[in-house]
Order: sequence, then C-alpha cells, then structure tokens
Amino acid sequence: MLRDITLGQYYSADSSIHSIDPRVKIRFVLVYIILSLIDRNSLLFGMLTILFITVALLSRVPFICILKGTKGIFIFIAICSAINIFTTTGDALISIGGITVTTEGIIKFGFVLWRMILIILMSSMLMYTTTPSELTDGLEKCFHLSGSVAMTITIALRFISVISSELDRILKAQEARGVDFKSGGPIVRLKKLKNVVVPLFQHSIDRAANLGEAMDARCYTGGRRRTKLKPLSYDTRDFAIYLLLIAIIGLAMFLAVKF
Amino acid sequence: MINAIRGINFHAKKGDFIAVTGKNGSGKSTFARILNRLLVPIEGSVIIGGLNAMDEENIMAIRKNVGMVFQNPDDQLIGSIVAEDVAFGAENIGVDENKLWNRVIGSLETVGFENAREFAEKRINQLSGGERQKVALAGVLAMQPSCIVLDEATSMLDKKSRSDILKLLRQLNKKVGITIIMITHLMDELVYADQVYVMNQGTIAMKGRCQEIYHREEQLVDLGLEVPVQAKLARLLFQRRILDRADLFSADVVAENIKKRYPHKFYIDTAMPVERVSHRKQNPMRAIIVDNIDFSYGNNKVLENVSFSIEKGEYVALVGRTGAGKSTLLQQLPGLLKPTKGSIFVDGVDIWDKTTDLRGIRCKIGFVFQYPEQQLFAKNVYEDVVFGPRNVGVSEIEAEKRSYEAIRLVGLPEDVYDLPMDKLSGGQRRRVALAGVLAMQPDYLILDEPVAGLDPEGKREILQIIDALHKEAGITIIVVSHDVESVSQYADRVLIVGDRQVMDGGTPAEAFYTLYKKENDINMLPYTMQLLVRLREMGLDVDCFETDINGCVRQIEKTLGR
Repeated sequence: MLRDITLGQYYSADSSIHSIDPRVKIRFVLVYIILSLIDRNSLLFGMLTILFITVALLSRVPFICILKGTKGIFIFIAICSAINIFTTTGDALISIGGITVTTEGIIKFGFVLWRMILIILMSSMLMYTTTPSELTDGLEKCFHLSGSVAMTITIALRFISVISSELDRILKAQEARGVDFKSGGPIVRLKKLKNVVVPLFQHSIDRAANLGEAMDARCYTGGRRRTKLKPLSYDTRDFAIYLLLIAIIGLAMFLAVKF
Repeated sequence: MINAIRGINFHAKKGDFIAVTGKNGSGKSTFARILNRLLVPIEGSVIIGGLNAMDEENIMAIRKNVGMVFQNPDDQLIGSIVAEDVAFGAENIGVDENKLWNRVIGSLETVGFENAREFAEKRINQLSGGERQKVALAGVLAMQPSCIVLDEATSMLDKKSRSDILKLLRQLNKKVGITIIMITHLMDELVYADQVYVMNQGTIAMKGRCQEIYHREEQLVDLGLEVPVQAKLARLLFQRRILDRADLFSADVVAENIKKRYPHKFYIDTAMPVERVSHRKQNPMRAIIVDNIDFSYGNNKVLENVSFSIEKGEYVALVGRTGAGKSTLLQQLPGLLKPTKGSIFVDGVDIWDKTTDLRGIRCKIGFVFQYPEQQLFAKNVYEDVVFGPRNVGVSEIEAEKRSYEAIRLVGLPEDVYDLPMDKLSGGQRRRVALAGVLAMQPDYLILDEPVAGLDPEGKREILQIIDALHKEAGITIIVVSHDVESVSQYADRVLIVGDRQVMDGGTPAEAFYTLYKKENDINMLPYTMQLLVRLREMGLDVDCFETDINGCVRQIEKTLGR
C-alpha cells in the first residue's frame, strides 16, 4: 500500500550503470523519452524495449523491485489509455449499446500502453541507480538550476518515504477510531479527508521547520562556497555513452522513417 | 511576549561535560539554540570560543565550532545516503574536496561503525533509530567542532542505543577533548556529566555536581523532575549502612563496594539462576487470541507462526528491539493490518470472518499510536474527543456523555473543553489524544510508547492515568515500551518480541532476565536487577528476580545477614 511507494528511491548496488555520470543518465533518459514519442512503430518500440532490458540487467536492480515500485502507476495508465479502445474509429470488432470496440482502437491502446510503460520503466531506472544528491547535481548542471532549487529537490525526494509513513499512521489511527474510509458519498469522503490532511500538513510543516533549523546549524547558506563530496566529472566511458546515444538516435530515425 | 529564558549566567570551558536538565518548557532547548547561534538573546552577551555571538559576522564561525545534534534523527538528516549526509556540513563550510571522503570515513569510524566504507553507502531509511542518531553525530564531527550541543538527542532511542551514544559522548569528551553540552530530561543520564544545570521557567534553578543534584529530591520533584532509581537505591543502601557512600550510580561500582565491605558473604560456587517463566490459565471467551499468524511487508517476513493471548483485565507489556515488529504486531489486533496467515479472535470472535463487523471490534480495542498528539485535527478539545463516538453512530447525547467522561478520566479540568489545541502543553495534548480513544469505551487499550518524549512529571502522570484505567475502570492494557523501569513497575506480564516470534516472558522480572541472558547485555535489566545480578555473579546468594527498590534492599540485607 502506501508503504510500497518507492518513487524516487535509490537502490544501492555496485553496477556499471550506477557509476555513470548523472548528467549522462539524465540526457540518456530524456532522449529515450523523446524517441518513444516520435512514432508508433513496433520495431522502434522493440529496440527501446531491448535497450531498457539491457540497462536493467546491467544495473543489477532486481526486476521484481522495479516492477513493484511502478505497479501502481501502470494500473492507473492502463485505465487511462483504455479509453482509446472505445474512441478510435475503424473496423468494429464488437458493439454493445452505443459503444464500439475497434481493432484499431485495441492496437492504439496497446501502443500507448507500451510507450508509457517504457517511459516509466526507464525513468525509474534513473531513480534507482542515481542517489538523490547525484540526481540534483545532474539536474542543476543539465538545466542550469540554482543550488537551492536543487537542494529543495533532494530534500523533497528524501521526505517522500517519511511523509508516506506518517500518512499511513494517521489513516490507521482514525480507522481505529471508527472511520471507514471506504464508505460514503464524495462530500462525506472529502470531509474525512480534511481530518487527515490537517494533521499531515501540520506535521509536515513542523518537520520542515526542524529540518531548516538542522540545516542552519550545519552552516547551510544556500549553496555559496559549498564543496562537493562527489564532484561531477566525466570520464572516457561517459563520452563513449554519449556516442552510443547518438548512434541510438540514428538507428531510431532509420527505423521510424523506413518502416 | 514571553521570555523563554531570562537572566542566565553560564560558563563552560574547553573539555567540560555539562548536562542541562529541566521539565518540558523550562527553556532548556532555547538555551541550547543560543549556544549554536540559532537564536540570539534580546539582552546580555554571549561569547563563544572568543567570538561575540551578537555579531552577525561570526554566525558561521560559531556554528562551525559548536555542532548540534537534535532530538529526532529523521528531522536532521539531509542526505539519502549515509556518506552524503555526513558530508553535508563539511561541504557547507567548504572543506577541500580531496579531504571530504577522509573526514566522512573518519567520523563514521569515530562514532563506532567498524566497516565505515561499506556503511557510508547505506541508505538512511534502512538504518535503525540508534544508527541514524550516530550518523547525525558523525555529520557534526565531520565539521571538526570543538564543542557539541545535544538537544535531547537520546530521548527517542531504546535503552541499548542510548547507552551506546552516551558512552560515545564520554569517549569524545575524555579522549578527543570535545566539550559536550547535553540537554536532557532523562535523569539517569546526568551521571555522565561533570556539572549539572537544572532549569525552570527560563532560569537556572540549581547547579552542581550530579550527586548534589540527586540529593535534593524534594526540590527536583517540585521542578517536575525526579531522582533516578540509581540514586534512590544508592541512598537507601547508604542509609542502611550497606554502602559507605551514597554517590555510586552504577551497578558494577555498587556491587564492588558491597563486596569490599562484606567479602566473607561472597562464595565462588554461587550459580546464576536459570531463566524461568510463570504461565497463567486463560479464558478464551474473554481474551484476545492470536493464533499462528504470519505477516509480511512484500517479501519481508516480519512475523512468523506467532501465537499468544491476552486475557481481559491484564496489564501486558511488549518489549523488544526497535524494528522487531512490535508496532506491526499491535496493528494486527484491531484489524488495522491483516495477517497473511492465521487468525485473531477477540472475545471468541474471529475478526477476519466475513460476518464480523470490524468496526465493532475496533470499538472494543482502543489504539493510542506513538506521539498521538501529532494526530489531533479538530478545532478544540471537545470536538476531537467526540470524533470517535460520532463515527460509530451513537446518539449525540451519548457521544457527549462519553466524551466528558473520557476527558475526566485523563484528569483534565472541565474548562479545557473549548480550548484550541495550541493552548495546551505537550503533556496535555497527549492526554486529549488518549481521551479521544477512551471515548470509544474500549475494553482493551493498546498504547504504543505512551511516555516517549515526556519529561519525568508528564511521564508519571500518564503512567498513573494508565494504571487507574487498568485498576479502576478495569480496562485491559497492552503497552509497547522501551522504558524498562516503568514496565517492571506496572505490568503483570511481558511478551518478548524478536526474530519474527513472540514469546511469553512471564513476569517483568522473569522476562527481562531472559532477555539479559539472551543478549548478554546488563542494560536489558531494570536497575535493581542489574545490581542483584552483578552481586550474584560475584558470589552473593541473592534472589535476582526483584524489581521493587525496597524489595531489592531487603533482599541484599537479608543475604548479608543484617
């Protein structure tokens, strides 16, 4: 349930993917996403799938772990993209009432789902293999963010698990006092939600204040004059991956245009 | 405007180990923040390491020089990986990048992580509370401060982690020469300090060496504090002329002293007693029965083949290491978590049977979560307390009656009903949260660490309320607690949770003795038993299963033949 949220969580392992410079990984994933959006083409998608599997194998993050962390999002996307089944015009397969299911619709649904799954899986590989602070260092450099924006992202990522376990505790404490979150109409449910959100926000604000104080105490001033434990530096392998990336773009263009 | 602290004169020199104590709201945390230049006083002067703290220019130099460790490890760790967090402060002060790794590894080694290189790569949320607090301390050490201020830094830890941290602080103080200023309301921690300050209403009420402070019991109680059991026992033994001095606060030292005075009573062939458990018969229709349950979070099995029962009218304590699965186990009882295997019966009803109304079960079993005051949400006291009864659909008059009764049971005066939460003290807010659960009129009451974070007075009040609910209102109490002393004082029976199993430990004395034998750690025992066990190990034929302080003294007197 709520505890299973692994969004943005780092999976510690000693792999060749983990040690790649975060800037390279971020650009790689960006290109990957763009490529998966340019065309619906089974050869192209096949190539992207193979690419994902290769990366996942090299990263030594167990497949089960990757799938479990993204399961919830898949279900959500499957439901959203299922709308294609009914809204695409083409050869009618079955027709019940006013709703028609078309072959084209099913194919389109398949492609949309495939595409979204690839995007999410590859993005999650970035999160699994990059520590939040490496990630923010990378984002800072790739998108020219200021140090304090990058720090905010680091902290936000770290607090996902803290806040989600707090939410879990509040929900359970109220269930224990007779609240049934599964019953009632929308208005009643909204009211119930209010009782959860108030202590959650209060708690989060208190914790943010504590954290701010702890950062002050450790001389944080917003990034000026800071040195870095792991300063970003490219090595030859990182350049090789950039070259590989260009080759992948070329191959994808070829597949998209020729087939 | 309220003055949090006023008229304080305080002087610490390099290499001192100073403890500052006082009840919640006495101003001790404000004081700590002044030392680190997180706050500045309105009047007066503060000089830290020769620098004037009133001068803005000196902020960074002072913070670099005076490190600070806070109460909650989760609120002060910034990185997701150990190394990132430990490096954070050192990065901020611009330590040379070639030296950062050495600082990180060095400080992790100093706080006692042997495999520091490997440990540095761990994720913070895989660590226990004690480990996290050590990481926080390492993060401060990496900045190479000459003084460390700790603001109730051990109050959220279990006994073992607490004593680890305290020993570490003593080591840093004696060997490395770091000045330690420790803010605490855990009275037994004062023995580590060379000098103790007691604060009250923003001023310094007492000052002296720890034994002098302990000696003034009446005054301490007036200030909302207490004399720890170590000091009480030493004084009793001294009054009975078993000890020749009253300022011995460790079981080892007291036992040595007794042996020196009565060597002829100690025999080499005195054996240690074996572990024992006294069981009691139970009536399944008036009990919670856990029958062979398993529970996992994903692939992580937390409980395996767990069976036990709790009968109506008992006061049961669950003990075990942090992370042993106590909270998970408790959440099974009112059906907040569903076991992956096995059944749970409440008064003969299978709670996961399709025909069972789970809400009815939850009315029978009240659940007070850890830090329940953080979960209050209503606009005033009454509205929060009445929330539960309204949810279960009793009439408004009945809900009102129950709420007033519950507020009375937790000892709050009638004029708090309309007060908003922010007008209440921390201890009062906890009592409101407790009243909110009592308004459900439960037969069983589960409490997860009910006294965590409270000062001695707040703790005493809550424990007395719980005891009264048990004795007078006849409510079955199921409590999780790290506090060995209060468990041995109040509980009838102890369940030991660990290694995915639950074991009936018998009486508190029996259970703690079993734990001590298993972990081979004297800290598992309440202090009275620590002393008796040490005496017995040295050859004095005392009964080790005694948790009451007077009983302990009688036991020693009897064996010494006096």
